[in-house]
Amino acid sequence: MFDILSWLHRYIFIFLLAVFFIINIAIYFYNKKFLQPFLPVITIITAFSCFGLLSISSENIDYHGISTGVAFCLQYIVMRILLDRLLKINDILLFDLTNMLLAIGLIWLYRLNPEYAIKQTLFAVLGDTMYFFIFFLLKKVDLKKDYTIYLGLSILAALITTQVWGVEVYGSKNWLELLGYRFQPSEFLKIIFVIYISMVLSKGPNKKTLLISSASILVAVAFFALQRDLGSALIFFAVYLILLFVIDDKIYPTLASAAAALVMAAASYFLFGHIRSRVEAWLNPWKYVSDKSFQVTQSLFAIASGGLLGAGLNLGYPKYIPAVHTDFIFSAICEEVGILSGIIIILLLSMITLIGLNYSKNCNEIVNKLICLGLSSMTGIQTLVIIGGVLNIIPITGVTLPFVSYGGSSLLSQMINICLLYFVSMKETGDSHE
Amino acid sequence: MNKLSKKLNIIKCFFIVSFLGIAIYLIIFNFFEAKYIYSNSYNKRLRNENTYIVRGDIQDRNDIILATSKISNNSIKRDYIYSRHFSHVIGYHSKQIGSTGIEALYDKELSSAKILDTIKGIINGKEIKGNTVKLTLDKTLQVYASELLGNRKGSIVALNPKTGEILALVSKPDFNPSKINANWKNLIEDENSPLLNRALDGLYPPGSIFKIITTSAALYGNYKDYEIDCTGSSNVNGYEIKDSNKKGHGNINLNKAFTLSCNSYFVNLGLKLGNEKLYNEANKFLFNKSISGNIIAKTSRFNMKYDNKSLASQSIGQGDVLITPLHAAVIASIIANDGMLLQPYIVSEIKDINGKTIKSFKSKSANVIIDADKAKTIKEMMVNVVKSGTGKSAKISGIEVAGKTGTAENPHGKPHSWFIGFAPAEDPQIAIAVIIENGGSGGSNAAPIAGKVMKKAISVLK
Repeated sequence: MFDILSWLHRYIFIFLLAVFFIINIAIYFYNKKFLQPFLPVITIITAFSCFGLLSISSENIDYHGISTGVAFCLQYIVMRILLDRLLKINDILLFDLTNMLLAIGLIWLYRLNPEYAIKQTLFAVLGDTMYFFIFFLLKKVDLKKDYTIYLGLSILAALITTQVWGVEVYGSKNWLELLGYRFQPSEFLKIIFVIYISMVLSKGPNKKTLLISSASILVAVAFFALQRDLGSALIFFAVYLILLFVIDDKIYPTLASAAAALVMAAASYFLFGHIRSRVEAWLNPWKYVSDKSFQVTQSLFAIASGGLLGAGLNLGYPKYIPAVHTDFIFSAICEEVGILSGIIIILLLSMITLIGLNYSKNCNEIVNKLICLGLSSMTGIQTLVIIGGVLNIIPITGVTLPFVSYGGSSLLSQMINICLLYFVSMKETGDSHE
Repeated sequence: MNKLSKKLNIIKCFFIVSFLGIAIYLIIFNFFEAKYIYSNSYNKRLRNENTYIVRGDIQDRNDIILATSKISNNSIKRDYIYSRHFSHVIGYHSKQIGSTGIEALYDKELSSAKILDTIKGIINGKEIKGNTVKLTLDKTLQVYASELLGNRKGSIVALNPKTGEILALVSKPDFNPSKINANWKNLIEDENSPLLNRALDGLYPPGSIFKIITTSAALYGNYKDYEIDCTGSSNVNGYEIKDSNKKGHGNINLNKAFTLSCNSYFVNLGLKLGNEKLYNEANKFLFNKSISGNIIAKTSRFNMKYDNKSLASQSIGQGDVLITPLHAAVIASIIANDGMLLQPYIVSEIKDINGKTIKSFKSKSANVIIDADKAKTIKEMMVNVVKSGTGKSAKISGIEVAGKTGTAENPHGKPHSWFIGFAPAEDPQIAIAVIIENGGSGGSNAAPIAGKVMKKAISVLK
């Protein structure tokens, strides 16, 4: 019986997701603000239908599933009201979007291992508190002032700390352990780095700022290379290139940096064995299907077996993919609710990116413009890098799918990212009123 | 400021294009690649048994059942009725080992039924039979071809040149798909690789059957009237190429050289044509390209070379030129079909349990590979090969046969014996490729088998 329900459920799931996306389009492009309240309703229905289905997947009803769903919804509703009343955020669309993705993530994390979902819910609540933290703490900070020295030094300190005391997880030495908790400093460094580079470049693209910014990015990428954190290196560089491209009237510094990146990538291919094996696994996935390419080919099998509609929630075999709950969660979702759902998830993430870019466009201060641009590009690039990776369009680099993948550090950093976008854009409008 | 906004728009466009690109890629992936990826033997899903659905049947073109599921003693057994004769093409399905062939490629269709039927079955607690996959193969022809090849290593591929339907696809040595679990260890250790589907995945030097392509290049390059004096051997930069006729063929033109398969002539012709022309012609005839159409074969190889020695050996199908038997049959079918190619395919229909068609397949519109008049010229030469040349033993009484023999030198001992051709020449019903590994000369070993299979095909298909 469960199978029948699950087969029917995937139609409902895809339908809900599609309606959610269409409403987003209507609000964002056609300014139909009155549709806004429907978004949380759809998200909550989606969460309840999925968690409800998961709770009856075995013979005994699993109340943990339902309570995880309830916890998520409470978190969402309470936070939404607080954002509206307390922080006076008038453009709630971004928050609704992230929560839909969070809900989808929690559903599949629960399906893969309930423990992940419960932990992830706690991190989401922690992420919510960050909003207040940032809004009240940064209120007095003037972003136009020069904080570059402090930011730059703290980034360097964090990189060195990770290098010296780092712990190795999944082959990358980019984790720190504090009071028994493990976290990934690079996730938070991303955000600080965007602010730092934006502040440096906002002083105008002259020789000095170009030199400082390019030297900083080189140092950061060198550390990531040492820590075998390919994904971070790639994302940092891509975001830096985007910032440079937008701020600099001349095109050749951007081109030169891009060329330098290519040269470095080529050099690292010959220098580091692990990069070489990643590239080989990407070029000949079927040749190395049993070793180097095992992970990505298992991901392709999952996506291929799903088809347009998927096998149905809990009816696929996503656990065949190693690390499915972090890097490869997209493949798990595609296997069970189909490529159509996968496409809508991609479109939702592109909406988040585009809304952020629009914030950037509406800013008057250069530094605010660059911060918004950097933060939203970060989400966009990260999505492209991981989805490109699980589809074997590019080599796999081991980054998370924003808001969906499991990972405390990464979820917190992405929530802070959205929060800062709100903060900067609201500060801008507030400043102009004064 | 304005410039900044412009650049921001460029970044926006970049993201929109990339995201939409991935979305479109996913759709393309689903419709064109997913099936082949899913059927890979490393996909553990192929070993899963669907709890509600009994695997469906596989039928030949006349609805004769080739594989079915039998329920005995409360367990379901996969029954392969013509056992070894279809071992590679249909493949096997096993919980322990996985699936291959049609069983893997059409695993999803075989192990699913219409959703309403499935739901009814679950509610009533009854087992439901999965969809039926109907093939283009002809059971009689397949069994006949398989028995003819017998214990010899090699492959036979027969197809209908006008439709692209594959009529027979034999690979030897074979195995018993019903006993795959018990024999697995011996099968993978067997140095004759009985599990390899030679018809699709065997890459062989084509030898003289490649002269069809060299001839086509000559017709396009206006070398139709090129003549040489054959002395029995030629020497190109120290590479000695001998003819089967040691005394030499004397003064010889294209038609005669093709009929007698004169190596000296084609080596000199190849040198005249040059590397680029020969390479382009090979690509036109689908070398270095995948042959698609609901079946996957290895890609045949023809590398671009820049020296005369390689060119000389390539123009007679030696050197590093490699071809699959399926591709060889496709080349015969292109000439048979006046230069037009219909992609070969093997599954014609997916049917539900009531016999209603769910999906049907056909080869898409024909591609012109070479002009009709050039194809006709080659066809005449191929008729001469069987009438008075190297392929005499492929003759069928009362029917005009066209063909080309090949004797391919290889590093594994005696030369491989090739024959490709079609019949009847004026209105081709069947195109065929036969290869016998280390079988010696093509004319004396592959050609008679090809003749018999073509004769049988014409009588069976009537």
